[in-house]
Amino acid sequence: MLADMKLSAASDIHKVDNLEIVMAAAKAACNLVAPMWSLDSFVAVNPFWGLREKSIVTADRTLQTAFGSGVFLDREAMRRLHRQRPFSAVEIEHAAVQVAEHCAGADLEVVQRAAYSVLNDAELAANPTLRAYVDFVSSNHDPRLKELIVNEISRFMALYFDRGQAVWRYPFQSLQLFDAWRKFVEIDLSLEVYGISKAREFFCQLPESYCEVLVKYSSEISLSNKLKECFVAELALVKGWAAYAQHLEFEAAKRKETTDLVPQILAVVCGYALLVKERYGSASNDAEWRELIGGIDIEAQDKESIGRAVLQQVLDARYVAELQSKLGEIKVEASNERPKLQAIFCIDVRSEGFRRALEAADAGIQTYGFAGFFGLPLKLHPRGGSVPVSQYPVLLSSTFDVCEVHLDSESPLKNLILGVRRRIKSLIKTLRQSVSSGFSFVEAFGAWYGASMLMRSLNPPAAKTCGHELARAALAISLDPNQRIAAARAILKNTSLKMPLAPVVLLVGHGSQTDNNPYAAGLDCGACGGHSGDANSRVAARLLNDPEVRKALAIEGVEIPTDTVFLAARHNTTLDDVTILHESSETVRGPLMRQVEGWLASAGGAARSERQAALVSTDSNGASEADVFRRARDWSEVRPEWGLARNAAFIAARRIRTRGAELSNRTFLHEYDYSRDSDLAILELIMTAPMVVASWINLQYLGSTASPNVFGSSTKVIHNVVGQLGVVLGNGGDLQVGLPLQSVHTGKERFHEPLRLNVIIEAPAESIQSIIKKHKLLQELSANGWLHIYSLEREAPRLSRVN
Amino acid sequence: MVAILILAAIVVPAILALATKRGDVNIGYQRALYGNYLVLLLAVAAVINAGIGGKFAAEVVSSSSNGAGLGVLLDQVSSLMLLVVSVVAVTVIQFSERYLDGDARHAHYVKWLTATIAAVQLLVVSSNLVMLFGAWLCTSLALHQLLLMYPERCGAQRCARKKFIVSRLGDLAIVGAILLCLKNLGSVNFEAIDHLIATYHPLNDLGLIGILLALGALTKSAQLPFHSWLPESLEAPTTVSALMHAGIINGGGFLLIRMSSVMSHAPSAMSMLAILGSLTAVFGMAVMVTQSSIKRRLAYSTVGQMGFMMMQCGLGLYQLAMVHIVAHAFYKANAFLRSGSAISQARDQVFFPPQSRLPYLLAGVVVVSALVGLGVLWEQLQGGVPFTKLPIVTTWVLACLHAVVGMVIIRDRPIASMILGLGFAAIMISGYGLLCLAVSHYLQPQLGHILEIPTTIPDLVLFITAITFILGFVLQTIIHLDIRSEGIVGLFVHLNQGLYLGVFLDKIIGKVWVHSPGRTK
Repeated sequence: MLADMKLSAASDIHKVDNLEIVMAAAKAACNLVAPMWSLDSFVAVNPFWGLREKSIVTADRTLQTAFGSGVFLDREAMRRLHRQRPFSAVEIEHAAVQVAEHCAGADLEVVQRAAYSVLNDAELAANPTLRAYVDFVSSNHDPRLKELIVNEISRFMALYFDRGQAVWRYPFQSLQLFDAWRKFVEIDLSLEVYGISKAREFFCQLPESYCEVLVKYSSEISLSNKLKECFVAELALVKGWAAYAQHLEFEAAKRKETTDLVPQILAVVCGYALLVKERYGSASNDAEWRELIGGIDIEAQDKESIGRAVLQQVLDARYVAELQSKLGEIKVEASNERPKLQAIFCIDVRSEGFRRALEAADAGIQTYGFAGFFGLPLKLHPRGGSVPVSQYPVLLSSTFDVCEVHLDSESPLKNLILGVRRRIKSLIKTLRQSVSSGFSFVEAFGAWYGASMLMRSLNPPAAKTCGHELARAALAISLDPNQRIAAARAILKNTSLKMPLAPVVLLVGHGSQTDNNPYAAGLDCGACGGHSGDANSRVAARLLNDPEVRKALAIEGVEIPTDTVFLAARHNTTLDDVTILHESSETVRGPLMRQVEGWLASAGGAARSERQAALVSTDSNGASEADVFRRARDWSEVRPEWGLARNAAFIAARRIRTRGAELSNRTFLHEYDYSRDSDLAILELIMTAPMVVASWINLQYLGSTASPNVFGSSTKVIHNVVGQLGVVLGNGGDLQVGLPLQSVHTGKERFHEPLRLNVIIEAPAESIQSIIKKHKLLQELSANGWLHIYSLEREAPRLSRVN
Repeated sequence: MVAILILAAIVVPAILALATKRGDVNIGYQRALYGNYLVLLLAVAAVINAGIGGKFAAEVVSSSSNGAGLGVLLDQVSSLMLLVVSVVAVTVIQFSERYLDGDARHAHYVKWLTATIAAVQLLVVSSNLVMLFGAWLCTSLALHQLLLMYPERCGAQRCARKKFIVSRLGDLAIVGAILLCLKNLGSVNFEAIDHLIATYHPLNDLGLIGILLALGALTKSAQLPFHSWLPESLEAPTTVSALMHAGIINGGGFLLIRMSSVMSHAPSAMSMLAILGSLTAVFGMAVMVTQSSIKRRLAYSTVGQMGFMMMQCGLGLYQLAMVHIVAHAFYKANAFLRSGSAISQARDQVFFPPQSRLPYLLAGVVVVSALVGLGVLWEQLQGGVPFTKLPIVTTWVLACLHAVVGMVIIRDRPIASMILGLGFAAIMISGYGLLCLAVSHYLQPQLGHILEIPTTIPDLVLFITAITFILGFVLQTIIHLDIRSEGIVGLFVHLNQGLYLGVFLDKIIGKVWVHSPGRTK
């Protein structure tokens, strides 16, 4: 009886064949996927970026149904937290008020009850989740089928997107993705060998255009009223590759080009679904699947999501209360004396500990926080013909080029040696990886690898600080005099550097030092596009030291004392060591320099021992100073440093508001002085750029911690780098997004505490509000609960909520 | 007594590690590491002893009539092999400690890693075929536990199952060989066998023993058509891959070298090895160049390299095979452990736009051919070209050609680059030559010093092997020249899928093995 009903339901499915409707649904589904950058410039991305227009509660529900994992910690994790420190009734009530604002339609009573139900009720029956057609059919027929198809798609994607891993590149990389795929499946025999006869013929008969394939799918398989849901379900099969394609679309959009890679990937998945339907589909099967999809509303009000949102709110609020108490301890003492040293650091949370230690070294030291690319979106062309490096946040585009050039003073011999070494290196690579010479190469050089490996085991490489390794070429900057002046002016203004300037002003970029780590770029400076910030700080120092620039600035009234020198430096975040990057042309030596270097060294020691304590408490082996150095050079180390883990707040205020406070490397600190920002231009800049980037980082850590297998890349132990762009797990399968488990988890417990970003701005609430109103993105982030914004009163340590 | 101590040094750390309490990972590592340092020292001593012409052989418990039992034989071959295995073992153990830190299954991992290593070391020091087979079986079973490190992953289950079936096939072949040895030679003790064959030439049925041993070796060393479990074994931790590709996969080659006296009297088995080996070699490398993931590329590279080693065994060039085993083990262990550097290596990769430079390519071929011609002429004047070196010479000439071709096709400054390429090839050849001299000198007491292919191998086999490698070179040149005809593109796709042999075997196994073997949790 029931089966009959299903059959009749299946037969009168309303056919959808309107191209526009289909494409709109496809686009909507594709937009749910957040971009993912390749590992060589692995910057943090908000994994929920596609859902920013929705409230975080709805997004949790949507992700839950689409991928099986939401935004927040799951029920079990919440309960564990509850056992450690119970959520009190007062806390829940407060939080519920906040959450009720974000989910229209739910009243306070319902919201509160939802929270208690997460903590106390017996396990609910799991909500049904969307399932791809292929997945559904294969679980009824042959569980291996889904895996085979996902592997096939992933294998093709790896070939198509490969950036140089395979010596023999896929010949159709230059075609459109969908066309290249058609070529692939018209040749590939895997499915037929597996037992799906005439699969190639089937693919040959598919429409030539990917849009037509989507239309065919929608008319033959999907439900007319749940088209978007169906597409989401299909795309979820290869969401990692879709994320990588989304990144390519993102970059193309910055160049004002349009691409439709993600919809093409969707069409590829739909192509396989059509094949599976023809070979394995049955009316009853289809009806069951449609019933499943039809019964799911991905944006429905969900009690579970609401409840977890309330508990998350409690956790966030607890942190803010603690933070506020620390801000309260601060003694404000403004002095107008000339400082001995000013140092500008990146806003990265890892700078906080070092800044605190440096300031403790002498009362005459001032530190500042600013985006580590120093507002200079430059493209670096390394010496020796390597690929150009984008040294700026991914939201921006480059405005000028910087080339490493040969110095006249360098001997031609050095150049020759460089050339020979480059050629030998690439020859070795060619020989090693070719059909005809691989054997001979291995026989001739294998013993050398053995010797080096044995040496490594018997005598692990000594720890060196990476400042010693920096080979610095001269930089040629493609900026005309006016642009130089404008750039210098912007740096001085936006960093809110206080006059009079100190005799030495350090511009400190940062980079990490790890070995054998595919995720190394994730530990480098995100503001420099996942690279070390050396080039940016060096260019900034060059501009600010330029006598012409200084003369022009003096005319405008910005006086830089003649004895002030700007020096570039690098903060090695793994070792907590700051090294000054002296230009070869500079000859700043003398007692002052020695003093500065002494301060940096002592601050490094203090910051390191603090960092070491974090490692000790999380590591079974215990840690010493030597251990910190070992991690930087150990090729087997999976936790070289904790990166931006435990990040929780973004504070835009004058440093005197936080100076001396122990913020445990958890806060992004941006210098901001409201009294010097009459037109709110600086505030607008901070809220639209660094704050958004901080929120991306924050949500990436949150996602990778709360659901390490969905928004994180699972365990490093079976990572397999693919296409020089990402990792897959083991033999293959979908591309992994987000951070590996080891970056957020100690093995025993979560190291990162999943909190939303708590933004604290030292400015009146109305001013903050006026900026939010101007920008759609900020409205979305704040109104939908993706971050919290507080206004910090100018005199008292009082916070008031803005959103 | 010494033999007991040696066996104890190998087995005790494994037993201690297996007995380590759950969760006490650090103690497990300490035991494993100190134990293996001890074995490494032993191996160094054994190699020195063998280097001055000595050898250590002693039985602990064994049947006096047929030599089956527990015993130690540390001669030139097994000492060197023990050294290789121990270096790899020490490196892998040290690497694992940090690499798997915090893994939920770390305790399970340490236990079985130590057990696997001990089993391989026992295999190497075995004095007789029965003990070797016992250790062989233990290695396979302990490795099975490591392949199932993450039993919830379907790929891991399938690979472990596939490997299990292939290994048992190999086991059958070896059991057959043992029985035939007992029947025909009356002993399974390696020294006794060598002695018997050297003195009596009992040629009857050695051919069948040879074929069975060759089959066993082919399954162990992932040769066509048994190879597909290897590229699918990436579901295990990187460190397990390193150990497997550097320490375990060589088992097949080691067995053949161990039994070389028998193999030398089994020309058909040797021909089979030579042909399957060279086919696998070119197949493995051809699939390798199409792979876009680092570990899969390394895995197919191993398949190819093992093929090359099998071919060397098949041609009776055991010294060269030994050189290959040693060099490849080090190379591959390092490559797997380093696989995390794929991104940073790509980051500072030098980027040259590829350009086709046909004239220079031809010039390079002419230069190398002229040099080879001169060499041949010189040899001729010295008293005849050893035709029997054909396959080896071919591969080396091709490597040199490749060095030159690789340089001129895609580099600027072609002439300077060509000279550089030639120079590099010269260094490569002399390095290899020196290594071969040293190793064959070292192995001389055991394997003789003549680097020549036995005349029992038919010329046809030599031609087939040589032509296979030339085909490989042609393919490589096609890749360099970036030819995209329809046939070539088809070849690319088929090769990328490993010619579907993996899927095919899966399908067969899926039909035979209907029930899932249950999860080990």
